[in-house]
Amino acid sequence: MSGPNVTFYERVEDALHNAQLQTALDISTTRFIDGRNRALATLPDAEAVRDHARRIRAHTIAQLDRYLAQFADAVEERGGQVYWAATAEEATRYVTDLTRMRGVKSVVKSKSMVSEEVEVNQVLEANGVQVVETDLGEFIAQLAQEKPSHIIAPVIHKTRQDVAELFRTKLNATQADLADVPNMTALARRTLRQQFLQADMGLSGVNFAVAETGSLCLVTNEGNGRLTTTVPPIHVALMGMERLVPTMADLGVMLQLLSRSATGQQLSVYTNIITGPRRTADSAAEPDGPTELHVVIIDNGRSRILGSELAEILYCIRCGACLNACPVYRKIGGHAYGSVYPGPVGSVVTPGLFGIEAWSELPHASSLCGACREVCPVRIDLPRMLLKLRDEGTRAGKAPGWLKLGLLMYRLAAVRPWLFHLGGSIGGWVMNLLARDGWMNRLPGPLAAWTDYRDFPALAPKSFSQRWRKERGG
Amino acid sequence: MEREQFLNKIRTNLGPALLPEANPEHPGPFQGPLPADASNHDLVQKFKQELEALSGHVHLPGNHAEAVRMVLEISRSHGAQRILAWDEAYLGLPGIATALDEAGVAIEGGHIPASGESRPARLGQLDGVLIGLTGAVGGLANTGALALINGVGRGRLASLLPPVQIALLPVQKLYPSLPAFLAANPEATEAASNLVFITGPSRTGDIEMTLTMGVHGPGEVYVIMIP
Repeated sequence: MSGPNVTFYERVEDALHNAQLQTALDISTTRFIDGRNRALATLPDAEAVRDHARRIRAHTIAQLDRYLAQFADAVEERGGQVYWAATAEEATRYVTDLTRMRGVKSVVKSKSMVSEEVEVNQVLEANGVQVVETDLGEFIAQLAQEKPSHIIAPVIHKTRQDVAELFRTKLNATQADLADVPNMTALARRTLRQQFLQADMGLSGVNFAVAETGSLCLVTNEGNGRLTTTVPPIHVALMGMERLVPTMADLGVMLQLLSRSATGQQLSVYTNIITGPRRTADSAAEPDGPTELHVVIIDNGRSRILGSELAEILYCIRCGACLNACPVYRKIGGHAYGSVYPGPVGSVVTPGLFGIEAWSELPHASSLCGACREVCPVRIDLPRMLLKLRDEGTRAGKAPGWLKLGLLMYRLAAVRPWLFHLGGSIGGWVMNLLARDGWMNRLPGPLAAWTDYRDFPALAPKSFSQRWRKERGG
Repeated sequence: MEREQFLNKIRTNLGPALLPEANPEHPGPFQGPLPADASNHDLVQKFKQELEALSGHVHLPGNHAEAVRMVLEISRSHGAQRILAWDEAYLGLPGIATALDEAGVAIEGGHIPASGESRPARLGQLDGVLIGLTGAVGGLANTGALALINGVGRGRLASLLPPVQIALLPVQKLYPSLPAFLAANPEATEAASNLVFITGPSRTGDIEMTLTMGVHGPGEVYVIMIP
């Protein structure tokens, strides 16, 4: 498995040579996209819902300061606490300080991208706090000491034998525990249930926050999100500052799209809406739930994205549909991107949050075919922003050398029609010599890298301009 | 960081922000077509069909006495000696507490101490309970989802800790869709600290995309529609 110092192209090589990963990607991405299409078709007019959802997201981001203030007031009125974190460090320091003040020794977590982004696990563990991932896939990834590879399916790259081996070594699983997937799942349930019951704090993300009511909406299928936010006495929710909708009715619109786009479900199993901590007033004392609720609102580069031509990426509702639809993601999978945020959305978010200098390859990991924009529930124009980032990368001197050379040669020829035609004729002749049935499965020299994984179509024997002259002349 | 400082940074950056189709006015409610309202009979059938497709069980008793018998039968078939139940006032099935008691099934209230040493012990006791019994404030016909408000007398744990959930859903409380439920129940988020939509049994596909039930929440969900 790739280490942190491995380049993007090396990670891509790894992924393309991993047969198990290739099978998993084929099956999972196809299943998710088919499911998405079927689930959206159950709505009377899914296109109208998508248009409306886009208007809601655009409006919310345009009024983000106002809605964040309204949301924070609503949380505080209901007894919750709000912390404003400008950076990852501020966010993790707040959580760490809280664990110290409350004597927290163990934390249970439900899946959250932003917690990966700010690396809260690492910081808590460095401070002697035990952190347990409770989503089954994330739990497995944590046991394997790996990063999740897909927003929705964190360990699609592992076989059941891989998981059985992990459970054997890390959980002392018996042969019976590992007999089949339901037994392995039951073992995970028992193991994690004990963690829930003894945990001092639950740490979650937020799918949507509702400004008018101060509610947090968390969507899970397993129920770990509900256990995390119900059983421990303290609940801390980390949220990217853009995760807002203005009203409950707006939440209803988003929920019609989120699960359908993500997993092809009409609604996830648990759509959990939390409004303030457990109410403890004598007249209306609730029987369970955490007595403390902390909401950490995180910027960490988002305001920089907001002030740029990438602001539209903040409309994203984190469904993962653009990953499953992307022909590049479908071949290289999540780890190859090297970021918490993979796929087309990640190729915009990652350089946006952390700078183009370190992430200039990602915007090139796209064929610009537009499949991502087509499946995006809020119709984010991802290709536009990928192009913009390629431009920024070039301006930062990060364009790959071959790209510069190629473009230089093209420019030389393109402004000289005789040279362009000559090049085309020679190229066409050579290619057709090497091709079989119009396809080349082996290009010469450095171009061979292309044909390692795909065939290259030969140029047509007669060029367009040759045919044009003939048709017009004839 | 201070709140105003944080918000000011956003205000500064909203200036140059490129936000396609952003309008300063809220777009208002969704005007397009929603899943159509239908007769209660059709909503019941749709709800049943959707929930059964997700491996949930739906029962349609003819009267309260029959509903009580169904609850007893499910707990008997699972060999349950204890049941984690909401207060009877929130179950919408008068007499169920007495009937369970007479059948020798002990009812556990779900109260967890807010803090202190008795808290983990109490959680540990409840963790062994086989069945949770809840009411519901609504059902979403187009997705087969239950809507539960969790608050006073109706805790979250009854639909969460046990491996089996029985939900008593008033048959008149079926809505065609989630937006219809939210429109008809504007107080749902203010009535208590938790509103949850439950769509069938807990499930995961994380290991080789193999569908498995009951990974964290209940692996079996029974809905009994109360006439």
